[in-house]
Amino acid sequence: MRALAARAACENASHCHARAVNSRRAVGAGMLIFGFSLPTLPALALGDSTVTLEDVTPPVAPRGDLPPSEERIAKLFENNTFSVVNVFDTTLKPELNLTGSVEVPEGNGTGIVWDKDGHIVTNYHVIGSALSKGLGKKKPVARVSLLVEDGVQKTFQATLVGADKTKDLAVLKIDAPEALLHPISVGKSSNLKVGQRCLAIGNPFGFDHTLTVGVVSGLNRDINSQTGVIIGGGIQTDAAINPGNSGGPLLNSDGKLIGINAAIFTRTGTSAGIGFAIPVDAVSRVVPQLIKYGKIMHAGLKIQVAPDIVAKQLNVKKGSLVLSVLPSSTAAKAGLVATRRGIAGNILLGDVILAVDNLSIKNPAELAKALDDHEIGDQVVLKVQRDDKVFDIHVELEESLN
Amino acid sequence: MGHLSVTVLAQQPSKVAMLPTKSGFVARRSLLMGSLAMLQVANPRRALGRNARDNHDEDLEFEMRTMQLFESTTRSVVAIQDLDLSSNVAAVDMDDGEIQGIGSGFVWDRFGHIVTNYHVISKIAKDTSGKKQIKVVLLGLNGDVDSYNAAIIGLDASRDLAVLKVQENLFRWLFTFFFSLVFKIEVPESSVLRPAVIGSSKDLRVGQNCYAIGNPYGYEHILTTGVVSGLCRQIPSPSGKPIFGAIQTDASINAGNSGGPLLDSFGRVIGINTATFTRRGSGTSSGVNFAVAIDLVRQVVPHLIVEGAVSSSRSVERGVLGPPRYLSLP
Repeated sequence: MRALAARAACENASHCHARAVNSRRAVGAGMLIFGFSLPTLPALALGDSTVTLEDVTPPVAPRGDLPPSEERIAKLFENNTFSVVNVFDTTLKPELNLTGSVEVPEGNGTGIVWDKDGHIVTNYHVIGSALSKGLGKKKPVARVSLLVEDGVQKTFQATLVGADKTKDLAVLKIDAPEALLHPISVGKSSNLKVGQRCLAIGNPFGFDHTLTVGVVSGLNRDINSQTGVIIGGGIQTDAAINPGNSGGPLLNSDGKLIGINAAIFTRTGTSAGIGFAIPVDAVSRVVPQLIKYGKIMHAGLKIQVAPDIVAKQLNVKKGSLVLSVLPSSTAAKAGLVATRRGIAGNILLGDVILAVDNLSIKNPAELAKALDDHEIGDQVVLKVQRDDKVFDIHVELEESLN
Repeated sequence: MGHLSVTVLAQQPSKVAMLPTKSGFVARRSLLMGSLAMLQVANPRRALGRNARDNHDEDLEFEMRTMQLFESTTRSVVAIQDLDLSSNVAAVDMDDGEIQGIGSGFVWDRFGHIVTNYHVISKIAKDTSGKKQIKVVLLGLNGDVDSYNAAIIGLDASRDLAVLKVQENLFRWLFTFFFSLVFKIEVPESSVLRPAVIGSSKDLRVGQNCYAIGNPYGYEHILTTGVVSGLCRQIPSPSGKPIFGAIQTDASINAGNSGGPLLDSFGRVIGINTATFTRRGSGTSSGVNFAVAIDLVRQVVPHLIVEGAVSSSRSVERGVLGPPRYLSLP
């Protein structure tokens, strides 16, 4: 509904034509003599006819140059925003709810231009829907929008190159001309300090190329990623990160990539000032492998462990219960025992892994994370509980099952 | 775009702490800089200037700057309150009623026009019982708080803007009238009014600092800071039509500072704090907040004041905001 119409007439005629202090005097004198009503406008009178348009159009105050610190951040954004892209999972359909407002699906996220070949890095969970549908490599999984000059966005079909669930990363490829690709400059996360400034660029709620600024709030955090795994070494920041920022860059004040925004801690679903980014050192290890081999070889054991629910039912409260062991694996050779059925049909529990190299393990996610920190071929010592005995097993790590 | 709503929140006023001085030399320099800046600030029409500083003092200087900006602009930010008389039927005196803070606004000119959001006063505007009165609370010359009745002058639901005009009450008016008669001096009509310095939104850059000021209770100002997160955004208005050219910021915008000004580092108004993006039902800000751009406000408000409404709609935007503006390649 437009603004209310009706323009009310002024109550006191003399008031309408005079201005400034003089009018007050004239009216005041008139009031004292003739009556006792203040020149007021009735409650919903619209329009003030005592003034002209020029009277009420203030001049625009000029400004000087921006202060150096603001100029730096503005330039940082301008230089790096072209490396940030919009990623949309094509297997998702936007839901229109009854109020008419469109719920932005989780598949709308951010990505980073990695190199001039058109590789785009984003989070695994941003294209999680396409990945769970089992779309193979080289199949189109997403639409990627690049920012070109003058605010125009160009959209390209992106194919899947490789994905790593344990680090919540995925690499896509688009067929775009080199002139449109502006790869991000990669920094280091090993020398980050709490308190240093960081900038996040992303597409929260569909508002593309949004800049939020904050500081590094904490280091070495465990990120509970949406893929269900725990990612270690996470960078915590208070730059506002929201759904849609996933897969986008976290930059330091030199404009170098220090992390990829992946998760937030929130009770409301939106930013509460606690955001997490995957450190760039982990990204730099994973992405070249994904580009070259299409997959990551994770160090681990060829065993299957019980998920939390099953372990609880079998009364295993701490540690990771081994369900099955692949016969030809190093774990089998080391003597790790799997869960099996007894002659009477009852369940005989297998070994419960309590620690890896003296690092205690509380659940399967921690086991996977502890093993992943090693390389294939490493010798580790597992503290194992079998029936009532607790003892050590030495085993060589190989490629893990998933 | 998701569900945009302004939510009622209780906000603690944030106080900017004084940094302990690092050394006597720095303290003296800061004092000098501070007082120089204060002198400039005394004339509200001049934008704050800048001298060359080295990086060593930058943080201290940023804090001083923020404090000075706040002090110089705070008198232009008003509280808008809703005085509800219907709770006390026998009330004769206008001050007997329930006062509820509903938002902020700022002084537009020396005539007493106050600019705020339409949604801040929409309930009162639609009220036909005559039992609601808008009150505007200003900081006076010597720091005391004054409350004035206000009338609605203009409304624009499609751009979420409203203009009020403060009316002096009888006794205050009589006092200034006789004062000027007796002492034969001109009492400036609007000595308590401190119009805000208006800037421009067309040369804004993503990344520059911005400050949102509100005055939800009349004596407690709230200041939130952040950067310009995005430009030329589209947000819904109370009428359902979209507002173009909105400024996106990560400075917190909530019911307390809604209707108040968004300022740049020079103390100029660059927008009107309007909305925050919330997930349905959560009621808490997400760091994705919006302000109506001042260029649009400056085009529309004079018409709202003189005519009460804006005659044509889209042509105003095209003339002022131009095509969506982005960046050029580095």
